[in-house]
Amino acid sequence: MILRIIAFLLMLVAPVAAFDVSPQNPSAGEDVTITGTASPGEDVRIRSSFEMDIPVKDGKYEYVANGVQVPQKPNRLSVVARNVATLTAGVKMGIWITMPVTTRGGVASVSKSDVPPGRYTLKMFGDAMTGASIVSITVDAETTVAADSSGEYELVMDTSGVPEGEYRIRVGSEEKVVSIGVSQVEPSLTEPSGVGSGGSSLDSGAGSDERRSLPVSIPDPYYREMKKADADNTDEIVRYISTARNLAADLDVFEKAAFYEHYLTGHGFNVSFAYAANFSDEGRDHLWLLVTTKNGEVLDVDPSYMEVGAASLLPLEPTYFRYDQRFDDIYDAAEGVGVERLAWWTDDSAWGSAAQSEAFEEVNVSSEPVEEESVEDEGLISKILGYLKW
Amino acid sequence: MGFAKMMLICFSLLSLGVYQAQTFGSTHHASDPDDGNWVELRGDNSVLVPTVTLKRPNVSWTYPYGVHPVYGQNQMIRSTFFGARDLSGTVNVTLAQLHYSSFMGVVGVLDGPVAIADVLYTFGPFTLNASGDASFSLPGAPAGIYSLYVIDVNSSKVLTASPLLVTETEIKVEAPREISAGDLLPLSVEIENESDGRPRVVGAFMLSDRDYRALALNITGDGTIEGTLIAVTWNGDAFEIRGGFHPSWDLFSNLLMIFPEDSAAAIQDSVDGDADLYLITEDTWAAGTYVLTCCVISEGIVLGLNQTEVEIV
Repeated sequence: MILRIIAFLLMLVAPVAAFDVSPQNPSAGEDVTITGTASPGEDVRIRSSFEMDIPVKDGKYEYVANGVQVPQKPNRLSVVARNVATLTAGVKMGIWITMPVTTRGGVASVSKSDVPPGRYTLKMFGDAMTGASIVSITVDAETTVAADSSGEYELVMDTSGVPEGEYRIRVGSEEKVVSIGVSQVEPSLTEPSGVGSGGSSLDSGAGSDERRSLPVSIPDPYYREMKKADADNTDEIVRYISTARNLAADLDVFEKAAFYEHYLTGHGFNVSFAYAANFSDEGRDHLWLLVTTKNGEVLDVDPSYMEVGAASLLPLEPTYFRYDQRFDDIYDAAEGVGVERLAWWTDDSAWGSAAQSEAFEEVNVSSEPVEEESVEDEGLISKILGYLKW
Repeated sequence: MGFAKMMLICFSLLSLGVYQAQTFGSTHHASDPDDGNWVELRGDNSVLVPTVTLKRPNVSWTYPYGVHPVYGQNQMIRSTFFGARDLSGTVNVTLAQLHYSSFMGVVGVLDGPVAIADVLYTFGPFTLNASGDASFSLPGAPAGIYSLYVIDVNSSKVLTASPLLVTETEIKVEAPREISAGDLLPLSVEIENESDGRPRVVGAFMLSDRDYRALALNITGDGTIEGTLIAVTWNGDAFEIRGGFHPSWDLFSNLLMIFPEDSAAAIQDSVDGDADLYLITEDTWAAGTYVLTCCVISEGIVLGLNQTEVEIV
């Protein structure tokens, strides 16, 4: 409880990473320059995203984005498609290379970090869910720039391939919505900063104009790299979750899912969230984890399986076959369900102390020291490039 | 696992090391398919071979055959050795795991004695006819990548070598025989007699017949691994591999970049043995015959390889 109070106070006093976007109403394909100030030498994470609706024709959909520029490393690119039965993603890097994307519950998502920067043409196509007239696609790109010795930073983003409409740019906890091809700019909307100057707080996604202050924010950095597990061994999933269960004992269902997503990701597992609005037709929502093995097999992992009446930590019940949304990481999940429901880090026993490393030293399943680096997660062109890369 | 991984596994199967080897001398080749000390393999399932040439001081040849068979597991290997006219006597035929240095030594890329290791079997002797030729049928082999060596019994010189791919099974590929430029090419790949649940990677690559035949591997060097240069060329574009052959991401990505834009690839993991893939074409693609190559790999073993043609109109 003490930590919850401290975190809340920190949010009130932490500096806000102010930034400007120019031009404010770019035409399609025009460069957008983001400038701002932060602490000297600070790495500033910049996220941009846009959504579009693709019409379904004869049960099929197709989307092509020409000349999409992938920004400098470190970066992360992800795509989520909804209302889809199948999704095949193609990237043209000299020649066209295609690969299917696993779809569950009408949602397909790919996400990858450290995509080789460059300009690519993307193509996504497939069958829509039966009866769907529109397929919704969300593209999210993230990169990091370093502030100079004066604390100033600048990033030029190419909007090629971005459709006309809202283009969201987020730096720290501040977001601006640029209207590409539309002569208006929405006002800057500021949220409380996270724990640390680069903290990221995400809105609820309730509407394009709606913003709301969040009572808690995601620590920054959030993910930590710890000793790598044998991430394709299902026994390891069970072992790691069992080892850390005492730390998660006081967490509720959503917090527990977030806790283990953080924990397993840190140990090298490829983890995402599955969310069902009406789980098991019991009128309640539920959040659990999807662990993808190197071979592409997706395992349902429910740290709260007992609470929802499932038989095991790796449940096989049909009710797990359906979910409404898949979130790649804590940031996506926070957008989808609200960060408050996930904020396991405000729990004394789970967080242990303000330093995550101290908490995890207690649950390190190895006798070797824990190494902490920023974690890599999964992403778009590079699901393909990742395939290419190995 | 991805396309690159699949390719790199294929490359990696060409082992660089040679251990517990038996050492032989070697002879030089000529470009003449009937008289150049080459062995021609025959089979029902063949793939096109790019033009391969070697040019070194005192050594020069162009590989004379345009197709190369792929064998199924335990399928009989039929072949004919076309030796120089002045050759006589008997030869043995050895099937061994393919090692880069051994193979390159036999075909004249590398100097020095040839060490042959990991021998699966040796058959013979076979008597050469008046033209210096001999035909033979060999028993099949387990899935793997091998080199077939023809060895002069009297001189203990390796007369020739030919790479030989044995796949674990056959794959069935269903694809339209004809599509319009700009259409997607749907592919259905089915692995026959496979239901053991092993993870598999299915890959497909399509290249125009004209471009396929324009691909060339031009080898030069000084007879050492370090001094060997393999240039992969296509219509004036070239990518050079210097020294030993070390599979890597950079190598693969550079190779990828020399392929013409009217080429396409697809990749898919498969756990049940079947895969449905799509290849993207563009309306700028030239009409004509395209070569579609499909390959299935599991745990480092080539399960199946299939090559067919698709017309783009």
